Amino acid sequence: MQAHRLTPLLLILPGAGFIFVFLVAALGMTALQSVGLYSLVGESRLTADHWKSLYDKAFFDSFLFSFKVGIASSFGTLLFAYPLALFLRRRRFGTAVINSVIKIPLFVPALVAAFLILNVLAFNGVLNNVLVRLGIIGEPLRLLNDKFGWNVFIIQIWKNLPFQLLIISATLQTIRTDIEDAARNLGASPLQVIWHIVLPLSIPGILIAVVLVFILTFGDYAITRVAGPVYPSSLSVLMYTKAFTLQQWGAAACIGMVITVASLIFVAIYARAARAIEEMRT
Amino acid sequence: MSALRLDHLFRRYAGFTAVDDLSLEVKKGELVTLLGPSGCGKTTTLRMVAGFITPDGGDIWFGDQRMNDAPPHRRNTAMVFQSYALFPHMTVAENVAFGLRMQKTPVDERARRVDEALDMVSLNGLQDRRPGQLSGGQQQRVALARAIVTRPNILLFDEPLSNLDAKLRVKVRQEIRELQTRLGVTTLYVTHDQGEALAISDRIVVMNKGRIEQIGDPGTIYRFPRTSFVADFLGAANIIEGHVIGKGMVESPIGRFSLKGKTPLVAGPVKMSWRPEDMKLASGTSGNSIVAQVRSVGFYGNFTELEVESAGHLLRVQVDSDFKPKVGDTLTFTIDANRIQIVE
Repeated sequence: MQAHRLTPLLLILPGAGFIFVFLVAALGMTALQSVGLYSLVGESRLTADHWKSLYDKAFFDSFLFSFKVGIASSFGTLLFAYPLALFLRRRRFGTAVINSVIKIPLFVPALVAAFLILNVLAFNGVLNNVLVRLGIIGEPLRLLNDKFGWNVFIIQIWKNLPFQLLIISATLQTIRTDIEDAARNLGASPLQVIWHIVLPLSIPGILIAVVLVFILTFGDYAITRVAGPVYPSSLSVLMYTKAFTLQQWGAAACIGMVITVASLIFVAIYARAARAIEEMRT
Repeated sequence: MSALRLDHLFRRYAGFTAVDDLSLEVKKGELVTLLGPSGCGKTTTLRMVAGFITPDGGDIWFGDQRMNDAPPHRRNTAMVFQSYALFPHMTVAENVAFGLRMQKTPVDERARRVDEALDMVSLNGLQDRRPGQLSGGQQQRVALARAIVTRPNILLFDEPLSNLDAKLRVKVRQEIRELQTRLGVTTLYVTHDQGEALAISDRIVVMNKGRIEQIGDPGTIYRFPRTSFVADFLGAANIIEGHVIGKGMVESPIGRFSLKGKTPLVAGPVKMSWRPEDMKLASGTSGNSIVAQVRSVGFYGNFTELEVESAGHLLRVQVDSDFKPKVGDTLTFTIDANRIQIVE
C-alpha cells in the first residue's frame, strides 16, 4: 500500500530531482554565498560585507550597461523582427528562402557570432573598408569596443532576430484572415488593418518576444566580452572578473543574485501585463 | 439600371474553374441568393464582388461604375461573415463604429448611428461587452449591425447562419430579411441551405460547378426546375427517365404518364421530375399511377417520409403522418399531371 503511494513520487523524481539539484539547490547556494555562508574561500559566517562591496561605481555602471543592452536589444530586435514577420506572413516569391536564411543565427553560438561580426565591424573590418573606399567617410569609424556598445547591439539584434521572428510569426498565425478581411471590407486600407487590427492582436506575442530577449541579453557574457566596451562591462562579465580574477566569490554570488532577481522581476511584469491584456479581451 | 451587374465573370484556380462565365444583374433593393453545394463557386463570386478575389475575366459593375480594379476598402460593400469575424479586442460599440471611423464620420454622428444600428438588431445595452462575452446569436447581430451602419451600396452575406442552431437560424434569417427590406439595401446572399434560400430571397441563383443552373424567384425555382440538378438540390426530387411516345405522353419503367401537353414536341428520351409531396395515395389504378412497395418509413412528426420501390427505381414520398404503412406493403400512388416537370 505504502509503496503504491510512493510510486507517483518516484516517477517524477528524475525530472523534478534534476530541477531541484541544478536550479533550486544551485540558486539557494548562491544566495547563501552572497551573505557569507557556504563560502568557497575562507571561513563561512553570516555577513553583509559582500553586498556592501557592490556599492561602488563599477557595479552601478555595469548594471546600467546591462540594463541598457537588454532594453535596446530587445526593442531594437523588435524593430526588425515585427516588419519582417508581417512580410513573411503571406507566402510570396522569395519568402521560403528568406525564411531559412534568417534562421541561421539560431544555430550559431553567441561567441562564434561575435567573432564573425567582429570581422565586419572591426577598425580594419569589411564595413569600414567599404565606407572609406567609397569615400563616404574619411577615416574608419570606431565601431568595436566603443563606450556606448553599438557593436553589442548589432550582434545581439543579429543573434536574436530569428528568435523573435519565430515568436511573432506564431502570434500572427493566430490572427484569422477573415478578421482582416472584415476590416478591409469596412474601409480600412492595408496599413490601417495592421495598425487597428494586427498590431493590437499581436501585443501578447510582442511582449513575450521582448521579455525573453531582454532576459537573454541582460545576462549576456560572451558577446559583451568579445565586442563590448572595456568599461563598463556587463554584469555577467563583472561577475566573472570578481570570481576568477579577484577571487571575490561572495561578491560574484551577489551579482548572480542581482541578475536572477532582475530577470524574475521582468518576467513578473510581463506576466501581469499579459494577464491585464487577457482580462481586457474577455 | 441594376445596382450590381456581373458580366461574364470568370475565375480559375490551379486545376479547376471556380466561376465559369457567370452573368447576373441585381436590382436596387433586391435580395438575391447564390445557392449551391460547396465548391460551386458561390463564395468565390461573393468574394469577387467584395474585392478579396480578382476575377480572371469579366467585369463587376456597381451601377455605372466598373469596380474590377477597386481595392476592397474602396468598394463600399459590407460583408457578414460565416465566422462573424468580429474584432476580439474591441467592444461591441467599437466593432460597430469601426466602419464609420474608417469613413471619418464625425464623433457625435458616429455615436448616434452606432446606437441606431444596435437598436435595429436589438442589442442595446450590450455596447461595452466584448465579442467573447456574447452568445453566437448576439455575435451574429453585432456583425449585422457593423455591416449596415456604414450604409453600404451592397450588403454581402457569406453563409451567415451556419454556426447557429436550427431554431435561432429561422429567427435570425427573418430578422435579416426584415432589416434588409426596411433599409432597401441591395443584397447578395450565399448559402447552401435550400430552405434558407427559399424563405429569404427575392430571386435565387442556383449554381453548380461554377455555372448558373437557373435563376428565378423561389416559387418558380421550386415548382419549375429546369434541370435535374435544380430539382434535386431544392428538396429531394424524384427523377425518372422515360420516352415521349405521343402527344403529352411519356412511357417510363414505372408506368405511363400524361403530361397535358407539356412535353417537348420531339419524340425521344426525357427526364421527369416531381416532389415527394406530389405523390398522393390512390385507391385504384387510374391515370398517372404508380404501384410501389414500401422499403423504409421515416417519421418526421408533421409528415412521414417513405422510400418506395417501383420496377427497381427508388422513389421518395411524403404522406400524412397519421398514415402508418409497414415495410413491404404494396401501395398505389397518383401524380397530378401539373406537378410533373420535364427537366434537362
